[in-house]
Amino acid sequence: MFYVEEPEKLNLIGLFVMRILEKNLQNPHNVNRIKNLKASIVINAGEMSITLVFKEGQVKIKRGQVEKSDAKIEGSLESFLKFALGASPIRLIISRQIKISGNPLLLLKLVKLMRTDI
Amino acid sequence: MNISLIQTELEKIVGSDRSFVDSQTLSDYSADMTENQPSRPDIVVKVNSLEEVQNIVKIANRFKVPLTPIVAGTNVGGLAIPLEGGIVVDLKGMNRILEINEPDMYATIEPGVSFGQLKETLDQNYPDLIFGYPLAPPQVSVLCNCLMDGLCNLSYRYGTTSEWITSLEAVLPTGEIVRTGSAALSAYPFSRAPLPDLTGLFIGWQGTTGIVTKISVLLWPKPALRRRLFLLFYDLSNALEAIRSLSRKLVCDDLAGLSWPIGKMIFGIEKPTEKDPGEPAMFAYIDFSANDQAELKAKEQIIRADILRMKAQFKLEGPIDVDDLIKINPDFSKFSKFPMTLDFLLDHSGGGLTWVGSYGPTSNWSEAAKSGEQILSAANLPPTVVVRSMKGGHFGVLRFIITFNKSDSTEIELVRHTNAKLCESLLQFGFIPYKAPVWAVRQFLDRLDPGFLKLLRQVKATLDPNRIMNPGRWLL
Repeated sequence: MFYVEEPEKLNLIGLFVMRILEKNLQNPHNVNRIKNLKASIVINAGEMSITLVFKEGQVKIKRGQVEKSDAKIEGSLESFLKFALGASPIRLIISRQIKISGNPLLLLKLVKLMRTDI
Repeated sequence: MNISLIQTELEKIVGSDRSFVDSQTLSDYSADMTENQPSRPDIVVKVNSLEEVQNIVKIANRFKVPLTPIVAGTNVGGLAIPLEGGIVVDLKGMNRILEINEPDMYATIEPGVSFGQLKETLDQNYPDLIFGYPLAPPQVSVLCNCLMDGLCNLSYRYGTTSEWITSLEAVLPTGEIVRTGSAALSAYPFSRAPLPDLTGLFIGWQGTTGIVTKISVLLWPKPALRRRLFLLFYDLSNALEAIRSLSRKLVCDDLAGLSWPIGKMIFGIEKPTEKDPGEPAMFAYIDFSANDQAELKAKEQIIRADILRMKAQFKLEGPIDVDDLIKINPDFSKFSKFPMTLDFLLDHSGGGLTWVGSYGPTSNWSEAAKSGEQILSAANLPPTVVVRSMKGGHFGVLRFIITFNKSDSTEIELVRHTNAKLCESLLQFGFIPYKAPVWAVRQFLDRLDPGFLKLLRQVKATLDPNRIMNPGRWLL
């Protein structure tokens, strides 16, 4: 369902995301959400980057960012954790704690996958 | 040494069911989780009372046979390995909480009382009182931690746990019993003062001056509310400066920093050797408590104001409440409960754990920590650093932790070599190893003040003329 290449090399944000996905992908609704998804989404948290690569119903977490991603979410690690914990993404965006770019539909899917409160 | 004769004598005291000479038992008591060289005892006895300890000591003194006391055996310095063989006295069976004096806030306990046991008793029967809890498993002996100048989650407020000892009872190497502190004169072991402080003859001596059979320790009022916040720092020096700054606010219960490998170990990464350049270098936790919401809020405001000031100077993340981190990774609950069992340091495939732990001046924290990190990285070991502010920030803990494979002799050699380098570096920066293993003592013995060393040896010779108590420790 999801895997990490060389988890010992993953950074802290990658490890947080790994835990969140581990839990959230136990939910069949979330599994369905990524079933036909083919995209790469970059998360820049603080000074760390990871890329989530969705392909063939699987998601791979990679350290660093790919050159060409389909969507990007940027902010401090703290802001990202706030987002994961349930803070309103709209509010985080308006207050410029989080910046988004790229395909908004992909980011909408990410919201569902990355929340610990849902 | 006539082992069978000594064994016969010991069996008269504890019976044949608590005296052991079988190969498996002797092997179990010959080593611990560290890289320290194993050494086999000749006999192991398990004791249940002061009288048994006293009679065993008298026999050992008569036969001039070494005696090594042990309780949980979880220290990280090989301190309960019987360096010169002889008798190992296992005190785990003496595990009674003899008194908890609620109005005067102290407890009197035997050696086998563990942190877990004391906490459970206090939680169930004296919910308004607490003791401190170290970064150690719940089965660790309270008495040993206190006697070995250990520390805990309240050491920022109240200093090393040895400072919490108010009185003790010990069997001297010649078999006499001594009671120190206020217990020497009063039925109430409330304080070390005002009599001459003979308690110090048993603190930090690593069991070389007698067997302590009872201690009285201070308990503290339990605050109604408690919070733990985390901060993440991208630079080690900034983290240490932040802890120093927050220490001076005098509003916290505990202030500690853990370097990035520990952050990854919580996620199950056994040997994190690679750090993302953009990754935080250290995370710090801040504990504070209060009697009511207003006090808690006031303390939080002071802490947040200092953090805000820091944020204007350098990059850091937080504060993040530990409860929020738990929601993301439930393993963070290890950081929210006492005693804190950091099982990832103990339960890993290699089984080995060691450290060089030290106390020293926080003005040199940053340089000393960086030097240690470099030594560990050069050895291709995770630069695992733990720091803790002590006694209102007057000094600090600096500890380098190594997990290793106990069955790999090459790795053990690397660990020994690295520990020696770490110790040397710490000494250069004015830090002093605590719970010092023999190899560390060997490293700094000739740097001790000559008068101190002479007095140390004279005290030892006076108390232990036949050199039976844990010989070899402190190279005595």
